[in-house]
Amino acid sequence: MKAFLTSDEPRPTYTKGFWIGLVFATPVVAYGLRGALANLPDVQLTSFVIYFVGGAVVHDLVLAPVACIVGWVVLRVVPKVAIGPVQAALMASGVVGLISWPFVRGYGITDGEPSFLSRNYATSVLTAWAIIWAIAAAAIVSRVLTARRR
Amino acid sequence: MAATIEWPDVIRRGSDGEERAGSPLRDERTAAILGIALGISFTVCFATGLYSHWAQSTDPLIAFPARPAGLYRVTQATHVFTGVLSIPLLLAKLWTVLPKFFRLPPVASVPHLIERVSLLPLVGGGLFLLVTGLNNVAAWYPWEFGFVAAHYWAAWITIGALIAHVGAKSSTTRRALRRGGGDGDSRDGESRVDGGLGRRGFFASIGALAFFLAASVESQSIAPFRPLGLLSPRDLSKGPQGFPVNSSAARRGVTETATSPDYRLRVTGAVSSELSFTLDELRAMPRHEAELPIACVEGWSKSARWAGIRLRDLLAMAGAAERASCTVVSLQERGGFRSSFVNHDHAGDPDTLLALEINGEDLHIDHGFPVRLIGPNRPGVNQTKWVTEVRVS
Repeated sequence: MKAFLTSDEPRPTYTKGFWIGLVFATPVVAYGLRGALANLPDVQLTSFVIYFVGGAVVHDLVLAPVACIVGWVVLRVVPKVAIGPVQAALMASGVVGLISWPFVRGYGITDGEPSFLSRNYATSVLTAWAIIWAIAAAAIVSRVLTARRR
Repeated sequence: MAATIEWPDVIRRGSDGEERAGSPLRDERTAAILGIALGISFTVCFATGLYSHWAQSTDPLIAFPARPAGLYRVTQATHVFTGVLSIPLLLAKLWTVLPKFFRLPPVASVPHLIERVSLLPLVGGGLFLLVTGLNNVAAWYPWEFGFVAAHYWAAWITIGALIAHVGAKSSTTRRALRRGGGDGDSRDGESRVDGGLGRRGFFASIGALAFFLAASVESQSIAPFRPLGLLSPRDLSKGPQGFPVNSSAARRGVTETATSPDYRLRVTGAVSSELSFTLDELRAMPRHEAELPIACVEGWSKSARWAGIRLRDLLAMAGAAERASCTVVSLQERGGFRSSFVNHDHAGDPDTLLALEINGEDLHIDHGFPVRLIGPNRPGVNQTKWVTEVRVS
């Protein structure tokens, strides 16, 4: 384990662009906050705040650590020639899984709307994953062949 | 001098093995390029979202135009496309700057404190918009807030935070984009891990993934994307009369009233004589045809040939003012979209109809039988079905 903050860590610097941005940004954020507060019965503040802050919290405390652990494992178990493609494929597979979740579960399906969520999305996700890993496999083969030629 | 507080390597380096100094996945150049892509994507998404909000405005002073007829389907497809596009871009950007979140000390100066505080509305707001927007496409609402209001106001908060972030990172971005990048940037873009993902591979993966996902979801309305439609939420070939529905008559509880012989269409409000029509009387009136799309806020759209009575003819019969606007009311007893405002520009458009037919057939009840509103350049939620009253204002 090494020290995180070392002498090469640059101290953040702020130019006038920062202050100009702040001048323009503040009224826009204030307008949004005011609008949310003015529409409280509809906005439902507690639920709104839970989801607003919750997204960042879930990312920082769940998604990012999981990605870190997966990345850590990849470095230790995957052969060097395959690390890059495996990293890319894992990243793509994870994002596909996340985005397709509400479709796969079909929470929004209602009777009388046959056009909506009519696919078998589990099959779609498996197909997408198969494509992603096929591309990764092709990249690994390409890397192996390139390495042999050298 | 090195700090005494330590983070585990897995957090300090972000676990892909890339040291901060010289790492192509952690350097300013990668963050800057992703930031620009994300900034453009978010801004287009915000602008098209505002346009959609404007389209649903009931303020006659900012009347939404009726032409071009198909503009709303383009802007809303763009809105959903850029929204989905932004998901992998945002996750990639967060991955690139992840070690900065664990920087020590957490605050180095007052501007640094302001910048860090502004990250909550930026990151939290960005994730909020993308999650709620995607869920809206999938019609899944596990929260208690109203989607439209919360999504709209969160967008303002987030775009404000984005402006602050652009200002804060303007000099860093300029430096990073110079040939060769900033002082700490990787010169060659190659991974510091033997065999690891370099900058070019990272961008190619994220770009391809983002495009695939956005095209896959938006294949529901953009024909060239159909072969990529693994995640298309809407099959436009399905539905009564080969046309999709977003909300059925049974779900809205109008089956009985819409098919009742007592059904009447009434024209009320600011008119010289209020009118009331039976369905047979409506069928006997002169018809006009128009090829118009239903374009939904969820990003799908499909055109059909509609036939019915021109709204402006009906208003003229009732003696409404020349540039009158009106509210079209459905048989639905509940729901935020049981009525829609039709501004003077839409009400006066020759293609704004109270439609009785779709593609040469009487409307199916799920398409709004006996009468539905259809007009050019209107959000689908404002193409009111099961119309029973036109209230002139």
